[in-house]
Amino acid sequence: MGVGLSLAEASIDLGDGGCENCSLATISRDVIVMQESFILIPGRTSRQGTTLNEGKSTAGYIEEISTLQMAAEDMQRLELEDGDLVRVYNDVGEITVPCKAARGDELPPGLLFISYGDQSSRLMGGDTHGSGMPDSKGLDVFLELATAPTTTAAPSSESPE
Amino acid sequence: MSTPEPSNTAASAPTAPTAATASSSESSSELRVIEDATCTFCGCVCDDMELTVEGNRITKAKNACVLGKAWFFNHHIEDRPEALIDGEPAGYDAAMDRAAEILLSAKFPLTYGLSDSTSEAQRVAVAITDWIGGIVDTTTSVCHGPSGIAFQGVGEVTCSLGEVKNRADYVIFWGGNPAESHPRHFTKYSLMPKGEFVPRGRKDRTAVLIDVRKTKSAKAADHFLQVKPRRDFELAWALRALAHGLELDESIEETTGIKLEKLHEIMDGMKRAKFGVILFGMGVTMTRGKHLNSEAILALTRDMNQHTRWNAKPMRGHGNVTGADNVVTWSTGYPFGVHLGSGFPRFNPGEFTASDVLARGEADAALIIASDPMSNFSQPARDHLASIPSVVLDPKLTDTARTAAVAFTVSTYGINTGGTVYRMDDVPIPLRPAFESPFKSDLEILRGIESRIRKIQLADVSLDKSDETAAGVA
Repeated sequence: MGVGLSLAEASIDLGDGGCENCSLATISRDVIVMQESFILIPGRTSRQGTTLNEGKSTAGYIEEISTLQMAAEDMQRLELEDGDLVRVYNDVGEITVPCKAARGDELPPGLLFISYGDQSSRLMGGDTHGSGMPDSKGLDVFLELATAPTTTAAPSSESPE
Repeated sequence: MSTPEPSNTAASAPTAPTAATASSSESSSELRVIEDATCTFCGCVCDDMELTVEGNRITKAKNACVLGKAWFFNHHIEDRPEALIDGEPAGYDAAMDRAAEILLSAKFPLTYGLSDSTSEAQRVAVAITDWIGGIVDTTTSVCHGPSGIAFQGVGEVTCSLGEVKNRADYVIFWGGNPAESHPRHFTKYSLMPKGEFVPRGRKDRTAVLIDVRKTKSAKAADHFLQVKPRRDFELAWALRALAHGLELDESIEETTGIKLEKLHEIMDGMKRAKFGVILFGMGVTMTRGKHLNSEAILALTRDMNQHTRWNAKPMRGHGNVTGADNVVTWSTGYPFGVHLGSGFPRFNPGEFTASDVLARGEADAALIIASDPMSNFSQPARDHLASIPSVVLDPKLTDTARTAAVAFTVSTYGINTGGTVYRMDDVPIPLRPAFESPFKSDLEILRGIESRIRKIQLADVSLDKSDETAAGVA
């Protein structure tokens, strides 16, 4: 990592190259989008637990399970601000959610957190590798600004939201 | 103490039980206090609640944590029909008839959920699954199921939370965030309480938190080990090596993200402890490696007993998920993911677990009790569940209930319904319900479905015998 996410007009072919945690994909309209790879940790939070009891259709619960937390360093580097919409996706599915900076040093750079729920489960595959348990934490995902056009590397399906 | 009897007085009205609700309100309109009530929201199952009840609402919950208060204050009587059949309001009798039909006509039915229901109801759910030759799986399979697999591999050196409270002088929380998921664990069981052999409470204990995130729980710990994501197995194995007195290569620092010097310091402390415990969460079981991660922690615990007394215990989430493990185990011999269609129990995670049989499109009907897989299973599993007839029991109108062929509105266990639940350390605890509900309990609905299934099955047997007799006479 270390390169900020940006959109740039370009027409050169950068192939499949990229650094360890990011890659460049050629997309429509001759735009190059930087995709960053992260590890996503879905988990429980106190607010998720309280709003769950109030109801899964309440604004509080939906907001809690639909907000992605990032390390402040990552947000600064990617020029993201609290509330910016980001698209998080992997080979299973994708979600588009607002992001916000995690409290203090709760998250190290490269790690994302989202409250466990409907959104995080959309990035979870059906295969349990013979264990009964799908990979539900430590998921490899890509992240990009949601306002960017769809990349060629993205799953073909539309957002299931 | 004013404790009502468990609710068994549901109305027989086919739709919204207005009359029953009114009757219930009338009989319980005075302010009452329920002492020693049990909170069933999380696996701590705190049984020292003091609930103030006004009519059909709990207005105060003394001793409850923030999660417990949310649980008690948001489970009141909702104006809903007894049941829905294909989305249309229906009475319990018609819904139980339809549920029995669905389950009996299935070739590979799945029973799933059970972690937020009483053990009495869990027992009937297992019986139904046996009668119809299906699979019984619980939310354990997507919680500490991997730990259940690990128990079979290396065993579990364990103890009760009472022993933790009274004896533990070295406590490791691994892959969990009790400050947010089990808010009273620190104060009631593991860190703060003064115990028989730890008379100064927190001052007599050393606390370690191992996690990939520096969560709110880190503030409560003396040592925070920020392990790299998906490196729990390597960390446990490194500690095992140190427990055996083996030298470790410095590359372990790059592998785990933790300084070798720190690992030695932790191991020295673990060896000096008089009574240690590792309380591990789903950061261990939900991450790649799964049961191998749990197995490594359990093996570390076993190894530590060469030096001093050490124990391990999973931190369980739902109020009676531990009860589900116990009931399914003493009923079938296995804790979850059990196939009963061959006339004898077969256990095979990956083959007979809910996430798998749904994602692979195998189950052709489902009985779901107190769980909402439509909002937290993988998309392929959700898609298939939505495509098959399901029977759902839940106090709330969940996404799973909305897609069900038959959805029962049931009373809430622990608040309206008595019975037994198991705390996360396998200790059974009785429930003291706060007020009656016009809705039936899981137990009553499941018994109704079971009796209908048996009636049809026994009628079929009688019919077969009659046919044989007639054929013999002819």
